[in-house]
Amino acid sequence: MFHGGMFISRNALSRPMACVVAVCLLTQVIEAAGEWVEVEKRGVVDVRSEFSMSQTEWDNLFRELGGLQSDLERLLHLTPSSQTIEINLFRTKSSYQEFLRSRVPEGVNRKALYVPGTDRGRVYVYRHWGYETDLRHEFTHALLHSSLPFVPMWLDEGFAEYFEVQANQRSQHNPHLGELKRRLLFGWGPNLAKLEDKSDLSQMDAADYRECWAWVHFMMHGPDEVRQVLADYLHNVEQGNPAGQLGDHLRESIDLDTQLLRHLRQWK
Amino acid sequence: MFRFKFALTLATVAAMFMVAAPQMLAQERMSNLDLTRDVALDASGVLNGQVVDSQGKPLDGAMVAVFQSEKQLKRVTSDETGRFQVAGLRNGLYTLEVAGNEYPVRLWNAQVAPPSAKAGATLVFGEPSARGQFGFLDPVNTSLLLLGVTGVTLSAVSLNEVNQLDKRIDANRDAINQNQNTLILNQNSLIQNQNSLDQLDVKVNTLLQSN
Repeated sequence: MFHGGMFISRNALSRPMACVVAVCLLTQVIEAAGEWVEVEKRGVVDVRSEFSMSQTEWDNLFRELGGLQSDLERLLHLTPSSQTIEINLFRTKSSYQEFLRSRVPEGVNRKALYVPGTDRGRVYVYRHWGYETDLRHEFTHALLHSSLPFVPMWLDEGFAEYFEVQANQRSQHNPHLGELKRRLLFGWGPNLAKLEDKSDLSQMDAADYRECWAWVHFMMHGPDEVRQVLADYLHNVEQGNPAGQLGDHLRESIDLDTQLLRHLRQWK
Repeated sequence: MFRFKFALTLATVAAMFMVAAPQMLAQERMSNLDLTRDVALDASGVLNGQVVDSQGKPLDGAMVAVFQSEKQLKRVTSDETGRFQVAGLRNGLYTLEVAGNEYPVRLWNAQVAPPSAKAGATLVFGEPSARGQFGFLDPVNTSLLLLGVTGVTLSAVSLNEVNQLDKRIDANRDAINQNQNTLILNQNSLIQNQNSLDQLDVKVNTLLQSN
């Protein structure tokens, strides 16, 4: 067992050697994150947790994830995938960041993270007040990417925002709706083309996430022809047929911006 | 001499620790690996496919090579809609390659293809990108990030500093726990405020309707 102070205090170590030991010790600090207390796999979901949970909590967690998976497959007509989704739950924010620093450094400043992989999708979330919202958000990304070969970022984030709340808040009482209605009074207007041009997460701000949610809400609860356009698009993407751009299909079917604004104004 | 040997042993052990983690990660990544996709040929025995970027935008002029047992059989180019077609293939395992990226596929005749088989092969060009929620950027996090990014040049970071950082992390953790308690107390106030907001929403709706 290494003990930091002991080695560093030895005069026998030369300066370069002390540096090597410091690196080693820091590596150990980094590796300390991700010491899973409990691991459980049910179906395609493989959960690793840094904190212990009671059997009831495990059951509730898998029930919540299973419910979300069923809803996504049912509402979007997705074929269930056999790809494993790995969920990593961290005890604290610092532990979460320590773990990511050595594996996904670009994600350290994100509150929660989904990393697609060819073998499995990986979700990283740390425990805090309301962390289940983060978990639903990232799990939605994981489910979409395990069933579809690609998902445009604006649609991906829109679905994640839509499904991150509890099921009874998806259609109504979503915090985004009230905020959008208030902004409508001050002349806010949508711009789907701008969202479609964004391909990097760093280009997205709070207003973009809100607008992504608005488009998905519109496609899930709006006019029949719009819902059909979304269904056809997802079917084509899943089947490997040329799907084109979803925005183009939507524009062909209706007067898009006007219909979205009407939808938001009228939705209670 | 003894001191030198002692230090050398330490360095060896340290190096072992440093290389162990990436090996384990690689092993973890390779587990449960089945990347082969089932794809059905069309009625005339043609493989249909498309090359797109990670946003689903079609890529024109992408060279697609078809391999079987490491032998190249065909080479085609995607059109302006990203589509490509390959004729003359039969049931079996193949590898499609675009710009060095390999996509293993199992091709099926239309009559015998399983339900899971796709109508076409979608080749997504480029690395899949991570998705993350809005983050946080405070001084402590920034320090930790910088420490992580410069992890390979840590010779400049003394152990003393690392220990101090650990103490700061612990102190912050306590503060977070205290704040969490405060947050729970504030939750009640928020609920009351939400009621006020709901009333405001009703007024906004009324205004929108009248407009």
